[in-house]
Amino acid sequence: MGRACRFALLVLLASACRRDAARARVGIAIEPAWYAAVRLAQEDLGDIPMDIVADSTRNVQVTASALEYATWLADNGAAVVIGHSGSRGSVAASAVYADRDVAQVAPLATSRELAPQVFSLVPDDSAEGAFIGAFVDTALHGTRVALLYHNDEYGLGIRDGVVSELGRRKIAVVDERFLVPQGEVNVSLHVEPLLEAALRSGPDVLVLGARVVETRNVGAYLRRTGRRIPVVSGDGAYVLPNTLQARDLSVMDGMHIVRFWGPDRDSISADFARRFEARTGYAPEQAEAATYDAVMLVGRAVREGARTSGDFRRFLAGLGRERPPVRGLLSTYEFERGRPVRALMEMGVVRGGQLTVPASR
Amino acid sequence: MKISLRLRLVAYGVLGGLYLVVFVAGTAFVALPVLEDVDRALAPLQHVFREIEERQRHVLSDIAALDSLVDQPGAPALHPALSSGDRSHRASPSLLARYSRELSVDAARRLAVVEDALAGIESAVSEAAAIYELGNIAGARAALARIRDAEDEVQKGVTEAMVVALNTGLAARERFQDSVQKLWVFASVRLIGGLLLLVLIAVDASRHFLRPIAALEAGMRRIADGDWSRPVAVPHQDEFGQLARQFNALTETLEQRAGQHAQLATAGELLAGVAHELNNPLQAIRGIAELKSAETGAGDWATVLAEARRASKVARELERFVRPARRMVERVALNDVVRGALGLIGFQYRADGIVIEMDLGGRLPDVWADPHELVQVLVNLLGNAHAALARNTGPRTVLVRTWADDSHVWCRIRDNGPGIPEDVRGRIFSPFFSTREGGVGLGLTVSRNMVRTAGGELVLDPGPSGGGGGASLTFWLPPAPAETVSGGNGAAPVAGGARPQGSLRDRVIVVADDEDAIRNVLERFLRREGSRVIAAPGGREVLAIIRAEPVDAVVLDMRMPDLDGARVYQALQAERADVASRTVFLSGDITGVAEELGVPDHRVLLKPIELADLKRVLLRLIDGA
Repeated sequence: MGRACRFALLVLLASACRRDAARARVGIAIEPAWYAAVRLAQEDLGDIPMDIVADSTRNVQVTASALEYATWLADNGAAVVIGHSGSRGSVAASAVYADRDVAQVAPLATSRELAPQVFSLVPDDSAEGAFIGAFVDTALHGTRVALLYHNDEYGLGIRDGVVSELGRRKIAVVDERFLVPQGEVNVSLHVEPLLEAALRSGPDVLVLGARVVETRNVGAYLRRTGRRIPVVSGDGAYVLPNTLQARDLSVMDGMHIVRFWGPDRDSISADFARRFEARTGYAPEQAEAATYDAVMLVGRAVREGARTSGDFRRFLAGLGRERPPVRGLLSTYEFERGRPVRALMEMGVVRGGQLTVPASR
Repeated sequence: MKISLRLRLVAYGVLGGLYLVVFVAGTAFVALPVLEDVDRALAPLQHVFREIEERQRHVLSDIAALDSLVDQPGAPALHPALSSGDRSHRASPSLLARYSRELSVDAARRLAVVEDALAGIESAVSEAAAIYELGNIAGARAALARIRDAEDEVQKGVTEAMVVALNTGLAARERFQDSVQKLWVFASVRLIGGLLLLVLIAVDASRHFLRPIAALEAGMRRIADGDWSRPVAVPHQDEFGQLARQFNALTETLEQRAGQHAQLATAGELLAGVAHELNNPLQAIRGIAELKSAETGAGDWATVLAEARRASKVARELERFVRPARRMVERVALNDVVRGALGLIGFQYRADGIVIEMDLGGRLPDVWADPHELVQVLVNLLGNAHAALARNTGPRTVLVRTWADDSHVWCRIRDNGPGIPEDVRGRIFSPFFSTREGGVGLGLTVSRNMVRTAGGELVLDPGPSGGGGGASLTFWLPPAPAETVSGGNGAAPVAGGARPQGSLRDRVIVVADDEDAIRNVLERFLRREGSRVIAAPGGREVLAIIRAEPVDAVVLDMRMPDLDGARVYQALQAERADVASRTVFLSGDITGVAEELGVPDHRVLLKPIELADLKRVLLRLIDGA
């Protein structure tokens, strides 16, 4: 009996060692600008058996290339993928990952179309839309709202959430206009005629489901024309390229933008921002923070022995259940149907080119 | 391996059921995934293209509407739906989100391109509408021109996507055809398998059911034909095998019993033959003793006569016992039957010192039965009692009691032997059951059947089970209808009656018997009666005498070597019917001589005869008494 026990123990140890000896292959499918956050997270994680699989030259947002890149990552043995950057790419790629049994952590995808087995670090656009709608009512006391939004998963999601909340609050939507969608679109649009036509409907609040370029254009037009109308935008307006110019939001001064994170949130965030800026020369935004959190979560799973897609899913799903929630920058993570239960949404306002959250939050 | 028939039948059922399940399930498992696969391949494409078509139609409608407006003078107002970017036609934001899992990567990529392009055109239409609203008709026209270019790209994308869809459909069809082929093969294999299974089951069933039944049947036929030599083969260890073994064991037992029975029958026949052969010498002895005792009175000759009569009776009873005549039911005095049986078996009791106590009821009603069968019953019962007491020490007694009540005539045989153990009391009437070593086991069975045939019942009386309490068997019979009650002391009505009256003086009587001693005795008797006796040693002599001179009567032995009694009588009937009508027949056989000759019973006397009976019958025939 003693010999049998020793033998069994040996086999168990051997299998455990063999398991630990294997390295986790983690795919990265994000904007090239966010890789700095990946590297910082890797440093903070230390020496763990994690190999990064990535091709930063590929476009992860455009659907067609997102599908191809997802297939490439699966072919190269990724057990988990952090990505894609935005909603449309994440939704498209999730089909490939589901088919090829690859776990997925989407840092900033708010689309409701994302399947529940994908772990996103931010709330979905219904929640964000409702948040915006409530702000329009309670903070801005809007009664007539015009909507400009991208004709894609992100914009349409924000739109549906806002319209639903406004409808609940009996606030009229007087105008809606499509902005150009993200993707392979052979049209280029100008925001100005759309905005001008929308303003003709006499709204007292303008809600944008737009990304940073369109939001900037709206801001610039309003300044140019001297129009004063409260503007509220979804989080897409705060996904900023890592250029100084892009990070200067002066043209959007006075606009309200939903943010999921800011360096001024707490001490941990401040510390992260400081270290990130020291490394890169520029302050991090929520995209980098979300990416950093995603890598840290995956790294922690690797440290606890996760190697397969099932291992990663079980680790993430078990946060707040079999294991304690993990504190990150955006949230203390525990997931319900792929969404963080304790995600924070804040309505910031651009002041002096920076998005800040008023002290009364 | 021993497999019971029940298990075999269950196995047949299970195999058949499994086959059915496998066939149906297998077919379903082969066919359903194929159908699902094809449906999965084609259905999403159908939905996707339908929705893209719908969106395209709306977009084209919007473009056409805008187109018509820009060409109209006066810049009419836009339809509100167009201006506000009405999304009512967009049932859901993303086809890709809904169908990407069901499409190949290539198809999904092309769909995404088409969808993006369509979305772009919708946005462009929205911008063109906004430009129109702002009054910039030229700008609106320019925007529409750009939209048309983009729309061509969309159409190209849709066409490419349709090619992909077509290829997908073709591939699905090919897979379907392959699977149909596989399904045919599968079904054929299963059918052939099923047929083979049927054949196997049929062969197995034939081996384990039909052949054993046929073998048993053949065995039974052989037994019926008297061939006991070949047992039924026992190829299997199942229920049929057990049945065959039981059958063989039964056959062996029957064969042994039949052999024993045959031995007994042979011994009986031998005994009967001896008894028969004793008739003639006993006739001579009785006849001489009767004559001498008539001359000398009581004394030694009277003793000889009495003993000769007793010996005659034993021989006759023995012969009757072994060779019963055809069943003849008649009025019977039970006590006479008892005495007859005791006459046959009494010597065994005397030899072994077993006491028989008789308690025969007086004035018993006669019963209606075959007397020989009743004798057999009593001999069986007395024989069993004797066997039970054979090894006992101490006083050994058998009580024979007869009595009657209002409805039955009873007879009980009780011994003081070891008794019948409780565990066998229920089986003693079973065929072939015997507690005696070498016993055939049929005595009580046959006895009970005989009693029942006579309308009665034979039972084992309740009593102590073994341990020296003795055994008691009782049978009862219904009384014969009406008529007189017999005291049971009279002789059998063969030729009985009072002392013959009349005379044979001066009568001419032919005595024909090939046995000199018998002929001499009869001649001396009849001469003493004053008759003129003409002795004839054979049948021919009788006929010669009859032809030569007048004769009053003939005493004719049935068994004569040259011409037997029957043929002599036949000749007498033809030539001298008057003499034939006055012929008395002497026979040693107890079978139906009278019936055979067509004469009344009283004209046939069974040897050894009483001389007085002979005189009586002759007087009756000659004088017509």
